[in-house]
Amino acid sequence: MNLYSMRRRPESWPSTAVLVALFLASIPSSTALAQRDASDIPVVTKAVALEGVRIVQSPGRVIENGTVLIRNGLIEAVGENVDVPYDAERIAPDSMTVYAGFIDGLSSTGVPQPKEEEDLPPVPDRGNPPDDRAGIQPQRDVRSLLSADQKSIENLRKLGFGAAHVVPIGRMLPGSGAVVLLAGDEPRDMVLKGDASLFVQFQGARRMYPGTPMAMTAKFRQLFTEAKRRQQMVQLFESGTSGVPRPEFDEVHYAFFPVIDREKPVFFYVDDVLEIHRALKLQSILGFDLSLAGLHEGFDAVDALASSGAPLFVTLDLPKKPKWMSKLKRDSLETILAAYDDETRTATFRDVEAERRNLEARQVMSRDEFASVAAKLEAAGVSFGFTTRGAKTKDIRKNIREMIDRGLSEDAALAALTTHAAANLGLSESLGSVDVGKIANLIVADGPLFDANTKYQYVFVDGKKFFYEKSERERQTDDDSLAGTWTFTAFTPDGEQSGEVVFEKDGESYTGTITYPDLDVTMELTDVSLDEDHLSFSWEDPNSGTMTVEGSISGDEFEGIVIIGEEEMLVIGVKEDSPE
Amino acid sequence: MNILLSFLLTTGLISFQQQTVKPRQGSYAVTNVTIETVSNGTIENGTIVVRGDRITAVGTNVDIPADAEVIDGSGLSVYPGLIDSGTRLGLTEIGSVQETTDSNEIGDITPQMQALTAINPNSVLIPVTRVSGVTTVISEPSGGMLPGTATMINLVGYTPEQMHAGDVRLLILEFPRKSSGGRRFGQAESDKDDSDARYKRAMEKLNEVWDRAELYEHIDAAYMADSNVGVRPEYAPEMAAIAPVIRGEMILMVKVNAEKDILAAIDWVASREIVEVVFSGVAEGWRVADKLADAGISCIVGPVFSMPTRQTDRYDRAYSNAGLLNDAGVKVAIRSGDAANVRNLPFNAGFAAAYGLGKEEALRAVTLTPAEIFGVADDYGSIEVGKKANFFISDGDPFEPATQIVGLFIDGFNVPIDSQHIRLYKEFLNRDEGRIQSVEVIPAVN
Repeated sequence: MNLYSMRRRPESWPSTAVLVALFLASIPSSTALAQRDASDIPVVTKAVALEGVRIVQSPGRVIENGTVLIRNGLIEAVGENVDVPYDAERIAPDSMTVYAGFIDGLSSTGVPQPKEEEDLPPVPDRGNPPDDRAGIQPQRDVRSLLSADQKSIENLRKLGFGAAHVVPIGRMLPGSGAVVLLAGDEPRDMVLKGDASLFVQFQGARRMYPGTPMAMTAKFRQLFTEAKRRQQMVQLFESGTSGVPRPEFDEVHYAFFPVIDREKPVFFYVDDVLEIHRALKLQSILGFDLSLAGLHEGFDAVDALASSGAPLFVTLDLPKKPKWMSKLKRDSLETILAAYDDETRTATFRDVEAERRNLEARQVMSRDEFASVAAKLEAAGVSFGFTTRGAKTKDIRKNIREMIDRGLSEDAALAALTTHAAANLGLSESLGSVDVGKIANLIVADGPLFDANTKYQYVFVDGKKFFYEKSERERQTDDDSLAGTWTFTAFTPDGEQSGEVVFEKDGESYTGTITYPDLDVTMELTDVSLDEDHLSFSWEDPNSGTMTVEGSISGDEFEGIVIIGEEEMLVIGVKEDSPE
Repeated sequence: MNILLSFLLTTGLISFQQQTVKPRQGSYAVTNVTIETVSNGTIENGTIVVRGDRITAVGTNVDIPADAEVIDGSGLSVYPGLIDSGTRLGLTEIGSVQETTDSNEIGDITPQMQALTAINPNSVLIPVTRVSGVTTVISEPSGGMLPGTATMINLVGYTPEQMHAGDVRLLILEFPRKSSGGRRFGQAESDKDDSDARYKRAMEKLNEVWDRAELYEHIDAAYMADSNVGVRPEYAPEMAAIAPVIRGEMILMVKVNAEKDILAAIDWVASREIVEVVFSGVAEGWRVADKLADAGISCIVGPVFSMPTRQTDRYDRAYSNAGLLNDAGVKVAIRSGDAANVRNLPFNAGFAAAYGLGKEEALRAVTLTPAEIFGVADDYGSIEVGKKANFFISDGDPFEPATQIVGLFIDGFNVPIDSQHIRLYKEFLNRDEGRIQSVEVIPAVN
């Protein structure tokens, strides 16, 4: 009678359909509860003093031990000797550094993903479809599309971002962008600068015009030229000359007027090198203020980008690493690179191994090129920002570190996330550094900003405090909830089965063993993971194959399920002993 | 005279068209009664003299003022008015009729809501409650984490302010509840938003509220001490309502029942250095009675008429809870936790008495002990010279259901014993409408 003999599901268990129905029924309530957070606690004071902190005001400008005073969302004072007013919330974190909050140059943070509309009627003339179906919607404004409770806002804020230039989601011309602060209960609390950009991307309409790069280039020129003529007609009509026909209202054309007047830049999202050149060419022919974001393949167009003078935002998204590469440390990759032989010319069946080594080396080189765009732009003396568009939240810090490893200086990385980004968006007066009068977007970090182990304890956005992580020091004093000896008992159709599990802490992660007391066999645990209270681990059972236990820890008790193939059974656990 | 009249009415010995008798203050002397003072034992054949809202004399050898209305209480007993330490009386009339219920404000953090402002002095339930000798109750709001401020009221008066007793206000905290453990049937294992996570979020929220409230109090105190210190601070009514608790000027009433939660609440109260605190509910208090005693936290237990909290518990755990807590050295008061049935308070106490608390302590738990807990023992809770005239006259032990309360004084008001129940009883006791010719009964044809 062991854990691996418990395979049958008793007849009386509810069918899967019932379970699914119950689960679905429980969803609305749990979502509602999840949203009930601290936002209904009133704000007590709008003044916060961060005392005894190291302040990096902007790259290179450092106050070793000073105070930052925030009031009403603005930085009221910065310096070594700041009088803290009586009504300030005083935060005196130990050994913390304050940086300016990051700025995202382009993304759709806070914009809900539009629903795919199905069953749309077919377009009569696919060569000349209606504008909305063709993705030509420059008249849309992202401010009316924002939703303050999007998870993406919280995700980005957690990484230290306080402001983002956000654009609507769509195809070729999705609409106007705005710079928003990543905190607030409603969109109107968030918007810092509306009409910040006209957003364009080489994203063709589906099976209709303009679907190809050539069509999109032509369409953009056509719209721009038409709009220019429309504007002349409007100006003529408005000048009061009688006998001028009434100009027709066309919202697409009207959306281009501020671009033609150079009051609003065009933000082109471009990833490959051809798209970069197409956007630059359009700019030189039509003449408008151009900003470029994306630049995945910018390594092949550094000179063109540098000489264009366009504000640039480099993507924080890097191509996915092949599996073999993600497992290797940098030293091993260097060895592979060193072994690259440019001269190898063999028929593949003769020396497959040498060919494979060369292929791997070329993959590493290619990957490095993508990661070195920022470093190359820095070397060319270009000031650029970053865009998080397309980058996974969990990869962003990792990717910045990889760019730094590929030659980007830390100061340039910080500048790209703060001062340069603010300058490129025309917001240097209000964002980008820790200076009096600027918007209080701050990061309070427990170490060097880009280190893998550094935790961002607080992020301030618009003067609002968000607490995220305990510092390493506070963390270590917390008791270890998992390490020790546990007895797990599974309730199976054949009765109770138990096993003794020993967890050991190994750096950040855990290892462990499971022993079946009846049989006196011990197996190694794999994939032990503890995420807050959620514990899961697996082991290979000699008879039943992979067994996985999942559930939550509460104090010295565990409750969850064991999964064996398709079967699930209730498991409880009790901690018997803690390590010395 | 009134007292005797009421007595006869309630026992149904005579019935006649009743004239409206209003409660009134004056000069009274209740003579020849057995006085259960609670604070100083029993006085046989004693006299109580009342003038205005106070008791001016108690004892066997008492001069009766010339202007006093004398009530002969031969064979009767006098007890201090009963205090129910947890009700919704005055805040709700009929639970299922929403318009008559005002005990629950929308929102999770609404400590600035004052129960006193919502009290309905004309509630039909108030006279119904007085019939059992209950003179004073704590009326408390509910719903959310900080539902508002409870109030202590005397059950007489035309306005909430007239009813308000001893300026007692208590901030209510619904302490976050940990799950009892055990996966619910059909609960999806992938549901990350489980009860543990909810508990954790609730505790974080409570701590955030308290952090901010402490900061608010700190800023507010600084500004109050010297208004030249800077600009006027932010006003947050929620935080202003919590500030008196942080300053130790108001009692925090923590509603908590399960063993784990009681332990968590003891730790939390200690970590926040809250001195003025009382726990209410405390259904599993007997499991951690020693820890409650060590912490020196008074407990308001009840309703006594409850099921045991766990299936493995003895049937009488809810009855014996108060006794076990008292044995461990915890100061215990009893509540009914009700609105329409607050009149059952003496029977709650009676059960607690029978299951280990003892008659004397049980009487104390609905009189002097709550008065001490709420800091009004100088005015309420016992029959002593100088205290408020809150007492009742009965024909026996008030814990016995057969006992009739025949007279009642609240705040010196001689309150007639009458209620909706008594009126209905009289109406339908004898259904002879006095018709000369009886009405012909025509059988229904289907």
